Amino acid sequence: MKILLIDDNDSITEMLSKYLRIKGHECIVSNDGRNGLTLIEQEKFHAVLLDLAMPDFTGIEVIEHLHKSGKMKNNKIILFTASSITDEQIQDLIKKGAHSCIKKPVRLEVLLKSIGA
Amino acid sequence: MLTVGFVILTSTEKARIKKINTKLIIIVSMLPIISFGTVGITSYYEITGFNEDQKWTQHTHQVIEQSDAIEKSMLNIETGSRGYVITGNPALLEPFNSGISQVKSQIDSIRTLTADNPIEQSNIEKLTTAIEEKIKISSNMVNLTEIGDVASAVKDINSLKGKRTMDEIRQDINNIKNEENNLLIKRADLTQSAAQNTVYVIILGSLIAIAITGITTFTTYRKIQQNNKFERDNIKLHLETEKLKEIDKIKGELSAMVSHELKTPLVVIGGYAEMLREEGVIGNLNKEQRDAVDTINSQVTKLERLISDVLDAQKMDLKRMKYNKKQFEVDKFMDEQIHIHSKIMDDKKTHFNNSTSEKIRLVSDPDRLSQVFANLIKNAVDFVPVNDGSIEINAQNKNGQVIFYVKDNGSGIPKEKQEDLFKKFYQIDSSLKRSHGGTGLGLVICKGIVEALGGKIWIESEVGKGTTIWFSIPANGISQAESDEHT
Ligand SMILES: Nc1ncnc2c1ncn2[C@@H]1O[C@H](COP(=O)(O)OP(=O)(O)OP(=O)(O)O)[C@@H](O)[C@H]1O
Ligand SMILES: [Mg+2]
Repeated sequence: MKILLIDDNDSITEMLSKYLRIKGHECIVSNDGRNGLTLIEQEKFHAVLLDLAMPDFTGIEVIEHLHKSGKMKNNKIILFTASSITDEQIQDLIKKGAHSCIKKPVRLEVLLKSIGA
Repeated sequence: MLTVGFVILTSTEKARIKKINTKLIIIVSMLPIISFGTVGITSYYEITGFNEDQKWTQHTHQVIEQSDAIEKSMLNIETGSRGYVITGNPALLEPFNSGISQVKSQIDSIRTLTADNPIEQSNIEKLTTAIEEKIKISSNMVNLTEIGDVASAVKDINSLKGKRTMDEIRQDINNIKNEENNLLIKRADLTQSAAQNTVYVIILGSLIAIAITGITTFTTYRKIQQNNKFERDNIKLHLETEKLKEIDKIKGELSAMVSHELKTPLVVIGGYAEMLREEGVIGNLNKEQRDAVDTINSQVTKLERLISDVLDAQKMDLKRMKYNKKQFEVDKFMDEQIHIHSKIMDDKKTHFNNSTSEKIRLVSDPDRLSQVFANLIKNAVDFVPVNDGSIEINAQNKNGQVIFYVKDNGSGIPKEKQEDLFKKFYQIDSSLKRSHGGTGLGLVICKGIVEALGGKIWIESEVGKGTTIWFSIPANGISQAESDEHT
């Protein structure tokens, strides 16, 4: 499976990509939202793991852009957050087409299940 | 939590207070004016009265003068007539004639002067009669002398008839004078007491006016000071509230930041530990290495829970905890609780059962209620005896409430400590060698959630026998606060 990881924290992307590759998946990493958005628009991924709290361009902005350009449906985007984001905000993002939300910290097992890998 | 008594007067209330104050000040300031006015009017009347008195004194003097003049005229008539009888010298008739001509107008004059005094009028009547008598006698003697009958005239003198009449006249004049003098004394007395009264009125009136002015000035000053203080206090309170709001905001931002910054490294640590633990992912571990990684994993879980508890307690304080209410089946929910916690029960060889016997539907937040159960069950597990522990959970419908409990056969909680359990960071045994971990937030969070969902939480516990924690949730899913809002 081709999976895109968008998170500004290098330690997290390094750990997760290592795990996913060991598990036999193709993993592409982006450390900022703007670049991640470009990648989503260019390629097709089986799943996108999107961190919400990022400097400059947040995961929320990524969703807003995709929602506006109508490219949301093509992607299984899983929100991945550690910040105290409210349930309403999450509901709003899911309404706009996000697939689900995983709250950090999370067991790798659980994460794998959510991605559907 | 934001608990500041905060009073800011609305502008209408302020205007009302100001209006009352101004009204009061005007009324009170009027009092000295009224007082001084009274003094002025009294003095005015007193002075007019004094003028009247002077007029009366003058009048009395006129009456007395007139009486003296009448007496003098009468003396002239007597001495004139006698002198002429004795000497036969007509020149001596001059005072006799002028006396007669003057006395008439003098009597008229005194009569008008005392017109308003009946006593004087009757005195004058008597005097007039006596004077006419005297004039008759004297005129008769003069006539006798003129016709040469001096002997008869002398006989008349000697008969003392004229002298008696003259005495009578003197007596009448004295009566008139006395009456006037008495009146004068009476009037003087009146004037004096009136003057005295005026002095009192002036002194008293002035004192009252001064006192009222003093009191008014003082109270006005106090009122102004009070108003200023009130205004200052209000501003201070307002600033303090703003400051507290600011602190609350910072607290919220801080907790979001802490949440993010603490959780991120935990994701990484936990992830690697899991990878290490999973056979064949990044190499195989021997038994000791596996145990070490297991400990890392369980400690990571603890740390995660601690972070989320601290954040929950904080959210509860700031009233930012979110609740998602929906309808769910309580009996199924209770079975799930057994399922979720079965592993830890097995580990501790604790008997764990759900004694719920009825089908119950409830509108509330099952995720938060699950959090309450997690806290209560974790506590119970920590306090029940190893290998011999027993924990029971139950839900029942009662009077529009769903009543839940978590019952254990653990160490129990002393009565005097039960109240403190719901205080933040409170633990009965805080010694280092205690077996029960935790931070003392579990029950605080339980209470916060239950109350936010409209219910109550309470303890039943006996040392050595065990503990039951009860809580109720309104069956209609509407808390008191919410239903108040709707009506
Ligand atoms: N079932 C129980 N039996 C005996 N004592 C209890 C029980 N439940 C709670 N306590 C006492 O109440 C204290 C407070 O409990 P609470 O759940 O609030 O905090 P904690 O368990 O110490 O920490 P935390 O739950 O935050 O990890 C506990 O430390 C314990 O002393
Ligand atoms: Mg506890």
